[in-house]
Amino acid sequence: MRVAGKGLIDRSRVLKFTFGGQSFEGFAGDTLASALLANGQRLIGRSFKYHRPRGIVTAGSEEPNALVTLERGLAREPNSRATMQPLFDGLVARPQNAWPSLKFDVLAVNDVLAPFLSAGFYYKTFMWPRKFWEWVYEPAIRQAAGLGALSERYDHELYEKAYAHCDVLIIGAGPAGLMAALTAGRAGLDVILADEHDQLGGRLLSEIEHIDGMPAVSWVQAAAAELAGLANVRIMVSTTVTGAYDQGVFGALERVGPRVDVMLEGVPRETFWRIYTKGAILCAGASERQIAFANNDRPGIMTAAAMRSYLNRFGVSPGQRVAIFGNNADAHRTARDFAEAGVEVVAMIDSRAEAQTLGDYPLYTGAVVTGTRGRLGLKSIDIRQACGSVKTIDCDALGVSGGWNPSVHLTCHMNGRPVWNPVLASFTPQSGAIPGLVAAGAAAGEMSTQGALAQGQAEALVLVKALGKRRVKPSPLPVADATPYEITPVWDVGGRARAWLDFQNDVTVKDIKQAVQENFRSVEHMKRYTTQGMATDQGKSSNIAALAVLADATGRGIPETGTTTFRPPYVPVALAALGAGGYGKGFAPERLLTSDRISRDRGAPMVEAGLWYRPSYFPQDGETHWRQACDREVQMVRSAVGICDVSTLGKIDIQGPDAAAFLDLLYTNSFASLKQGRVRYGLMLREDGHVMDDGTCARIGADHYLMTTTTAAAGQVMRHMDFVHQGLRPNFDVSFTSVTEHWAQFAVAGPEARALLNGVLDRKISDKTLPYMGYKSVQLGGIAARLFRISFSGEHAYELAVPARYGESLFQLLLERAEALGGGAYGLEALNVLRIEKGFITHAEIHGRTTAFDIGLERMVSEAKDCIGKTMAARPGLIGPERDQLVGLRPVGEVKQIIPGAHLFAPEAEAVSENDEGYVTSMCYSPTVGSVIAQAFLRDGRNRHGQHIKMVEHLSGVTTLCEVCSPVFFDPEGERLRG
Amino acid sequence: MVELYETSPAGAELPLEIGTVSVREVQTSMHLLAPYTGQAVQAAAAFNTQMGLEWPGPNELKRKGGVYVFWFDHAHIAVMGATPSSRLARHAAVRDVGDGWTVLELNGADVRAVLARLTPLDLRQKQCKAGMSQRSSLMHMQAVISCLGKSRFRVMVFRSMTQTLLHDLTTAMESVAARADLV
Amino acid sequence: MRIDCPLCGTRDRREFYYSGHATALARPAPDAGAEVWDDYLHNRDNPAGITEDLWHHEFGCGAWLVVRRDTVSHAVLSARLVKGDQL
Repeated sequence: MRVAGKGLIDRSRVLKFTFGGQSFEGFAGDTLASALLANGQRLIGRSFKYHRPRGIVTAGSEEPNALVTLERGLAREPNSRATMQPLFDGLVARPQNAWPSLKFDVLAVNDVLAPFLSAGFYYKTFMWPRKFWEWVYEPAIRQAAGLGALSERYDHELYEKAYAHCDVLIIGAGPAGLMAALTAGRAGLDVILADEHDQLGGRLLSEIEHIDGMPAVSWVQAAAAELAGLANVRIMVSTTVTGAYDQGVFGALERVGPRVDVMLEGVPRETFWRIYTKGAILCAGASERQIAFANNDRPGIMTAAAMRSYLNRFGVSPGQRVAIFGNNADAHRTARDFAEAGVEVVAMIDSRAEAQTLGDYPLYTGAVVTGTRGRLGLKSIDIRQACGSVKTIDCDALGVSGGWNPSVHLTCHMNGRPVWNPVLASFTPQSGAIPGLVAAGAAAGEMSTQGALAQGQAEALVLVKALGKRRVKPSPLPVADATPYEITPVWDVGGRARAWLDFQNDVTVKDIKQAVQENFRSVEHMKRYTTQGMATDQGKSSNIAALAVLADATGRGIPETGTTTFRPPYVPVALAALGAGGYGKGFAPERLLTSDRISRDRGAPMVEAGLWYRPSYFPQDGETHWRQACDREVQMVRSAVGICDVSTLGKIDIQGPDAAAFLDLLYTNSFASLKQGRVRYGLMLREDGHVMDDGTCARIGADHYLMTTTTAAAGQVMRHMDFVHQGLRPNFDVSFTSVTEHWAQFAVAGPEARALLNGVLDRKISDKTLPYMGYKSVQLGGIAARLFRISFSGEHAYELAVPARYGESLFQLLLERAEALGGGAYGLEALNVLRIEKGFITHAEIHGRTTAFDIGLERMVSEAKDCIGKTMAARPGLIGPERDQLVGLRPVGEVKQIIPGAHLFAPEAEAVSENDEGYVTSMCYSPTVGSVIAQAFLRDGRNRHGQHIKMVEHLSGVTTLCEVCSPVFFDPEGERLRG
Repeated sequence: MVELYETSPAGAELPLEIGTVSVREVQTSMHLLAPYTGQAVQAAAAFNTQMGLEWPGPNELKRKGGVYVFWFDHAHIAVMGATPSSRLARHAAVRDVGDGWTVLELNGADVRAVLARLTPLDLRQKQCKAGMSQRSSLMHMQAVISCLGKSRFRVMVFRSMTQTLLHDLTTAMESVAARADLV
Repeated sequence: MRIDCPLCGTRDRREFYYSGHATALARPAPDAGAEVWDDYLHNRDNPAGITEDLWHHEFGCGAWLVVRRDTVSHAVLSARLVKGDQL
């Protein structure tokens, strides 16, 4: 119910929303939780295991109970905390884990069956029959237990990632955070002030206090206005700092979309920020904990501070007859504020005998709550008074304060261990646990407003000085409430009925005691056995009490018992936010060729080659299968001329007096001896003696080479060259850079290749002016181009390169000319067939485990010089008949199928791993040979040409008898290359 | 003699304007220079004579008229809008790489907010001023990010990645523009 | 994690490519013998404390760096160019 004259809401702006299909109204400034409470909706959800009716417990991100599913069109966001969700017009929310309805939930039967569902029940039951676990028990438990469900539809909501940099990150904008931000901001530091609520102020928004003689809320407004006016201060509301990482990196989740009245088109739901900062001040405050007593989980029971928040910030009383139960002085503020607001306070129950009253309300000192009544909402409580007598008090709301837990979580993200403070009866941050981060205010255990202001200012001043802003005069500290925090801990009232600790995972005091009985005594074991603190709230409001119960049950103290480890994230973060931008087109760069448009216009399907998109084949009218196009393209190259865009090959320009010496170190063979205007095939090894890459290298000038790499290894080779130069030969006078993207390069291959080129080049070429493996600088319509006579097809072939701006134009021209000569474009499929027919290798063969010896190129490792990988390539085991060596295969039996990846066995041998003799790496149908052909690695293969071998592909069960042969199926003498 | 036509990396897709930020393509020449060992002083002198500019140090960009020179990587500087002289080529390896890069100019009040969604660089005004050119990642791409003013930047990626750059930029620009309507 | 690139300044870890211990800089002579080469290629200490790794600033300046860091505290103590280390 709303309380007249209270709250920071705007009662002139009515917002309509629905919950569970029912329509409600709230006001601007409400959260979903406050609006539901204002409408008298105490029952919000059902619990995880026992399906107990549950209501709102907190007013913050630590909320264990009030999880709802937000709906927007087809999108659903399960497990949204109603306490953190700003209300907007048209908001649609649904309760979770209840069927058929919130009020009547069939699985509430679990609550009756509770004796069978205690801690670790699933480790003990459902053990037999064994198969039932996967098919019966687990699905049933998953259906019964749990939180919200995903829509199982594609999530069209927008998420994004972003980066921010600052000098000081201030986490939390309560009194300590605001004071720190004012101090650092006035001193000129770049400040980011992040708060997880949608307004600055923290607890001050929920308290009736004065700062410098004005209401605390007015002081907050003034501070916020001043900060907003400072260009060096960046305010990030609705932003939870979720993790602390190395070197001043913090993760933060900003809830962008859901905080506005109307969801705006294009606004992301969440932004995940990476914040880089020199220093950080943790002003995250503290959260209030529960006290365990019988049936302390009914709707209507919440923390005393949350109750105060709803009254003071939202103008809502969660009940008409309010009781408060606490073990500390702070709880009395709730009683006082409600009494002053005119809400009936029926009892203030304080476990401390010496407790003093703060106002006009009935006070029971030395008393505790022992039980509650009301199935769907609180109706009455039982209290045991100091004298021992039990009294029943009718009430519909109960605020509980078991004391405050400083929010130490972030200080533990780098293995820090919080320190037990017996005066506060709580853990406080270990100092220095996160380099560059200090805690201030309640997060540091400084519970009064005055103390928080002072500490916020002091810590900010330390940073101001450390970051070199020395001339700063601190402004006088505002005067605020300095009442000390007094607590005498009570964790567990005792009794036989179930008393809840972890509301979200349905863990009770009994469960902890049972864990101890079954010898799960360490805090980490207890946690995993009972699931205490393992729900989405990570036990923020329950862990310390559970530790205390564990400490009591094991007879150890709390500090000896220790805490479990807090890990990031502090609040749940959608995977969609962490991976934002990385789906669809954002997954990886798409590298497009200059010929891309023309290829697509011709209907060529694209295939990914690394990040590149290359045409697979160029279909023609009447062709119904890719093989038809591929066969035609192969025959076209063999009989006329084909054009293929080969710009994806890495091109590295190498210059300098030591270029030749550098290449001699990189390649197994010599490049110092290469003449200008010539091209040579080169082989590059890794230092461990295995092949890294291969390609051609042209000598363009005396000290100028152009290396090509394979498409796949271009990046790796560049990195390797950088390492060899900078790390191993820094004295070499050589420089190199990638020019891959500057050149569009096209293969012109086939008997008509030269005729075609002579029709487009400004000056004709001949065998004499450009022999096989020659390089020539040429002109094409007055444009400087590069022409290499090299071949990956076995045909008389060239590669012609022009600056990329002419790429599309040249491709168009070459296609026209090729078509006039009976040729045309060929794609990656045909390219692959052409190279397999010739026995040329790709990274299917040089896959990281093959040596020069394995591919028959050991003679390319020069005796005359050292090179990377030479020493280790000569190791025993890398050379000899025990190696799998490159061979060709062709089927000779009934079955004609060869499958890459299949393994090879002797024809009579059983196809098991002990008999494995090798594997197939590449295959194709060769229209030139007229059969399927393949490349394979076979044990001692070079000595086995002519033998039969059995290919077995276990996945599809194909067995093919093959003949081992030379990997060169076509023109073994290379006559066509030179022709 | 045959005739070849030119295409620019972004072609008709630019210019583009979303929210406060506009994007246009810059068509210019680009050469990389790497001084030979022991030739840095001579290279810088020849460079200065030709360009009238100092050899840029790490993360620096200098300009004079239509000529932009900037630090490119650990070994190279880049020159845009002028062809290095043959005298300079005696002291430094010279490479024409102009067709290999897509150069976009971004202009507008929210340009830093847009880039903050794409690169981990520190883009605060005091840390990233006109006259700085930095190498970093732009989403998944290796990029050159040059600051020309408070709200004016140039970004460069490999030519083949132009479409991805436009996609990533558009996504960030739309998101920043949508936020402008947030209360 | 952030690394202070001597050329580019302090940069996010995602700009760098990691490549193991700085031992790789001490390439043995071709005739140093099997044991020395085996050590160079395969054997690495796994210290709890200070170590020196090679990182390539692949998305930055392209320089290879020796990064000195603490495997226990995750502190990054220094980064220097490998070029110059041998000179």
